Amino acid sequence: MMLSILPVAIIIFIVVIIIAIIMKGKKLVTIKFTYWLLLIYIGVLIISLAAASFVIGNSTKVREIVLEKDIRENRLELEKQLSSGSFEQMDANYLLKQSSFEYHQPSMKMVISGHFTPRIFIEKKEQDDGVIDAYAFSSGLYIDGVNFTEKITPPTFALNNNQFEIYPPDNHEGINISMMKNEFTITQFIGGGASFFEPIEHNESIIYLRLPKSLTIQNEQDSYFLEYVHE
Amino acid sequence: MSLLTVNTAEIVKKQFLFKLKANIDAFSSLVWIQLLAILFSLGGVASQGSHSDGLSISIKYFSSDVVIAFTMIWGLVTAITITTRPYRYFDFSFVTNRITSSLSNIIYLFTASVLGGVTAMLAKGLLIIIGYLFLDFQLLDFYSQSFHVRDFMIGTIAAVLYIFFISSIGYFIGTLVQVSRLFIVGIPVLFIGSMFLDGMMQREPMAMKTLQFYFMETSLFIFIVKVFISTALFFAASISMLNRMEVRK
Repeated sequence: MMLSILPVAIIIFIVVIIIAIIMKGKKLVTIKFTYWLLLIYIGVLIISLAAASFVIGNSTKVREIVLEKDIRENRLELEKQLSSGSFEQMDANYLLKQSSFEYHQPSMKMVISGHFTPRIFIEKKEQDDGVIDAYAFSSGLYIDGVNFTEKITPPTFALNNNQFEIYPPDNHEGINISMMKNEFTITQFIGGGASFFEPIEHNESIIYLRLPKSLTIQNEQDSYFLEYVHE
Repeated sequence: MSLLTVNTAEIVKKQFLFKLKANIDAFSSLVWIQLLAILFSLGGVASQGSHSDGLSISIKYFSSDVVIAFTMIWGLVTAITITTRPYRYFDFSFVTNRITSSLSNIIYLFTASVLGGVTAMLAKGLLIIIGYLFLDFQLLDFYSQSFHVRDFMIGTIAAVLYIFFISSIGYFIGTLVQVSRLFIVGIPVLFIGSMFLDGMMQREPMAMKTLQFYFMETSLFIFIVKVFISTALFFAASISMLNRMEVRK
């Protein structure tokens, strides 16, 4: 039963009370200011609650809460699958972005810009097809167990003059989220109060590159570490 | 000698209805206090920030926690107010004694707690609507946790009980002050002094332990029992003290 039923029940209750007062012969117009103030205030609260349930219902999604344990297990599973090269078995939900670049040179430089230290896996293809496939994966963004993964911007890949560049996600505006929280009188008994220690579960993206068999990378930066799968 | 026989329940009922009318202005102050609390709540009752992977995340939480807290303070003040001399003198318009007077006060405070608790919980809707209409809350960013009538009912019962419990404390404090004006100074000194003492002895403050006793209780049934017993003790102590007082003192 959703919240929208409650205002209807309260409205019926108020109407019954008003009818009872009128039936008793008391005129509402004699009620002094405070009565009116109270009546209007309660009316506004009830209407607001009813309207709020429509506002929330129309414009937002009530989301499933994911347990912190499951979020961490998913992350470990993602890293395990990528590091073992089980690329085909990957859950598509983890994929943030895919780009392909034609490249026929025997080697290339790799540069990562900004304060960005993603985990990078390299898979060598079985043939020299002249195509670099770049993927960005993420185990998601969870706040208090609510999934906000679609808010994550993927990193950018670029290939210029024998140099493969990875740019951090363009998040200069950041993510601003307003969340309704249950009152302490509710969370005290049913749980689900906001954790003020680690409410945000977010890890850096994981980059997965599939390179032609004979292509080598000139690792010029100390800021990243390449992990080769199947080797 | 009067030939009329009096019925305690009837007298309490009459006094309660009279007090409900006479103290109606307390409810207008409830409305203003809750509106003020809603105003404060619009800035968010809590916030969180994080910065990683070039990504800055800012979260603001909204709820009517502040409204409930303000209503609890209102309950405390209302309870103290009705123990003051002018309010007690109202009772002498009726056939009364200390017991019936206190019983009608308790019923009045319970009614006030119910009204305060229900309106405080309902205030969440107004908070959402004001944010949506006037403060340009980004609706795409305005997610709600799943919300059920059962949760709302639990929250309302707990809010009412908290306010009623605080009212019983207020009634007890008000009674102490009526017994002796020294308590106006004595109660804050006792409260602050005990905190200093606990601090000096490097142990958990008594006030904190007391708060945990109620706020950390996760079973609604046990919480109701705790509040019922505590409230009964405070009111019983107040009634026994008032019983010893002279008429019109």
